[in-house]
Amino acid sequence: MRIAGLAFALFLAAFLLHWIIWRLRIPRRQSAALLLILLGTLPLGLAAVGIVPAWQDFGPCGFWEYFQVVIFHLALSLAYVVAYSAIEGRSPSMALLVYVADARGQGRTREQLASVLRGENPVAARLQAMLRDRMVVQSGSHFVLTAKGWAWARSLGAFRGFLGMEKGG
Amino acid sequence: MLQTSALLAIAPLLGLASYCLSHLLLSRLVRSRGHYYPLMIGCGCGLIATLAVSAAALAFLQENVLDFAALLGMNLVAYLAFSFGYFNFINLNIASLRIRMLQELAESGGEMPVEALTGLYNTEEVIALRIDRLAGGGHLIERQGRFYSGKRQFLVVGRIFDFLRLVILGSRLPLGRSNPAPAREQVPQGVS
Repeated sequence: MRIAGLAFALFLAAFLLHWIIWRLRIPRRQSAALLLILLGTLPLGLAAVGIVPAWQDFGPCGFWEYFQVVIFHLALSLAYVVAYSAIEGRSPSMALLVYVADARGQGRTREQLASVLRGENPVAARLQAMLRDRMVVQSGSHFVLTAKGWAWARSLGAFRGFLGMEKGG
Repeated sequence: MLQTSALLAIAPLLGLASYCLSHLLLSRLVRSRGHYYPLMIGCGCGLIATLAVSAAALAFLQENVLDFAALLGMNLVAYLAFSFGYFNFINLNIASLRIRMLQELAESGGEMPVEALTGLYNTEEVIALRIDRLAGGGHLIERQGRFYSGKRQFLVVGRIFDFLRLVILGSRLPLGRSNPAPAREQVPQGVS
């Protein structure tokens, strides 16, 4: 109970810190800031339970208890960072599902569904995101992959090849 | 005693490894069931591995009922978080337009004219693909030219994210608005 309580409390503290900061001012580089907060809370929290006398009873004993808390915190932090992109903005598919559900049984025509996404220009939006994330750069009339873009394309491409999947999107 | 504690601590990682291995095996052996079937079965294999290893370690450590439940729950949550990450990693290859574009660029030597890249993707086709994919998966049901809600799982997830958006960002998206679209002036040159 002690280890589970500590692990949940540490993640809750990290989440609360993130929530307070976001309500005051949303950072410009949201994913990086989020990672910093979530992962930074872990060593600070573990140090605190080792230093603050009143909290020492809740601290882990031995390497494997520390390891278990670290694994739990890392897993939840990474999952939250992944989920955060869906919190930032709905995916096109999710937007369609919500739009249809909001019609409350009246249904939507294909044209109405298309018009929801058409205004966003999904292709341009993805290109803009790739430029923003520095996966590609625009050089004159060409798009050029950066080292980061190459890394993503190669790693996912290798996985796709191994799984025998066709290109998605 | 030390080995049992180690087993308890690494149980979520063993579960993740089981998920990856079973997913890779199933993807190669069962090609006819689509991409999500191996992901679902693989997730189940990882879950069973995590629970089995954790429960065995806890039983050996002779923890009391409360500690047993708490530590088992902790490992379960950690495994589900890892599996969520793995699912999303694989799903990038299935559904991400951005990753598709990166791979097209890589296959053409890392450089492509703007028109050539954007010419590969007709906005109307991209939209139609998404509507058809949702209808094909049963998430939307088409009747007499109108689309209605089908399976609710994704919608429930969407509503949860809407709630989290409201709590964390303090904002609602306008009806039908998905990702923050680039403002006109932000659209890369040459892309209409």
